[in-house]
Amino acid sequence: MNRKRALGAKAYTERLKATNESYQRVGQSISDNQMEQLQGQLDTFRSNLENFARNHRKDIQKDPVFRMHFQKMCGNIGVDPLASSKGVWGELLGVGDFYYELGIQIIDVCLSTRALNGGLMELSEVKRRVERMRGLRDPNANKALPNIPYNSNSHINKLANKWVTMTNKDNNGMEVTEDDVLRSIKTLAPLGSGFQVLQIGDKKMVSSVPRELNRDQSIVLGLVQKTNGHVNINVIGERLGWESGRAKTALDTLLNDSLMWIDQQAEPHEYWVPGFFEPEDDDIYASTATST
Amino acid sequence: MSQATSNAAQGLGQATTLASGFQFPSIHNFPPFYTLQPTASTWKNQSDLWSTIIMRYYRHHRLYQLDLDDSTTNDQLFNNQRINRKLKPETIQAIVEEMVKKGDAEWDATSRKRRAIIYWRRPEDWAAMISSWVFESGFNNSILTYYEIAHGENSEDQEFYNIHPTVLQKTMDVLVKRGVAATFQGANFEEMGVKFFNAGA
Repeated sequence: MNRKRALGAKAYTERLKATNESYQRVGQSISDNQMEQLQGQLDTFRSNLENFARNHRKDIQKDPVFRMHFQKMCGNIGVDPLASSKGVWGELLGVGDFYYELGIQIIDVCLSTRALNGGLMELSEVKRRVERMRGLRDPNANKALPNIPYNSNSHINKLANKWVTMTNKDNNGMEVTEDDVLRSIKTLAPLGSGFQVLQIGDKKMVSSVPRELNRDQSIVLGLVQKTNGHVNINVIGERLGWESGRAKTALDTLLNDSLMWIDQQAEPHEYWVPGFFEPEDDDIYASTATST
Repeated sequence: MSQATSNAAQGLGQATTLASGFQFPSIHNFPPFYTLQPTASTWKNQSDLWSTIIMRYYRHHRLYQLDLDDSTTNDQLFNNQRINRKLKPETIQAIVEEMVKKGDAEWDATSRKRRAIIYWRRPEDWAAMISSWVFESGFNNSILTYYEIAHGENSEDQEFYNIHPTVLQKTMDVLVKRGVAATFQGANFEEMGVKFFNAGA
């Protein structure tokens, strides 16, 4: 009885062992299979992504919205094709070059206007000027067209409008987004150039001079955005509740950092931020910058 | 349409165009542009911008002399009625002083820094222009008077027509120094003569 039971138990254990082994074998083969499949999927995915990138290279470079989506997609899977022009992605896409070129243009815009704005410029203005540099028609400049007497029925006018639309379309390839500008400025960081984006008030501002704004300076610059680009001690007192000493200190330091200009022909003296004074399409800033 | 600031809304950002066709850059409407900026780097940029505007304005209107005591000639340049701001004479003087340093202007030595010639073209440039006109027109074999160069009927269509006497004299000095021409005394400035040599021949 005992022996029989013992035999039975042994058989059971052996059977159990065999079953386990066979389970394991099956399991192993399943997971091998899965790994293989996964590897295959990854390869397919990778080659698809590469094909996609290759096929849409032009779109990626030309269409800012498309570029943004592509960036996001790559970001989600942990690939940064735009980080440099080297490496598979950069070489494949040439998109690293896109940001490199954009970076040069941003530097150019910021340096050529530094004379006026002390190296602080609204992001949207940087973008506008970069686009102009890239040959993109300034949408605001269309207003300059009506040298042709305006008449909605005029044939000439229709032609002119058509021409404007056509040129705009042709220039689509040059369009950049604020997102592009931001990314590009990030890629400038390793150069130690001091380029950075500051949030001042409601606006993102590009600073091309290494600096740290103290809290009061930032608050005043934020206020100036709401007060037509200029401010005085009384206005600061009313809007911020500061006593005049504190206001004067903030204004004087901003003056010293060449972020503000003073108008002594106003009473009380008016302090202006030239970066908020929208220059139109002047070439004068570039020409003086090169002569200095 | 502008995404920009209220300045644009005020229209200040827009450049002013004069009846003469001269267009000021938009900074001409920037009120602090009329105050000498106390920050050194800002002042440097400000004076550079002003000297560029002055040179362009003088070139456009074919002006040569800037006189601090004559407020009418440059009224539109230094007095912006649209924003009710104007440059004080001492600020203009400081700007001209910067221009003199760069060779863009020269004080009249007798004027105690009240009058200056603005060189929107340097004497060297005028020299090249006048001598090529002389050779192209075949005047190189005869003596020309200063009057014929500055006011003669043959030079009417030239950029140096009505050139300022001081600038003309500086130009002649350049030509003489280079050995390209010789000058001859006349009874007065306009009767001074100049003979060009067939240089390089």
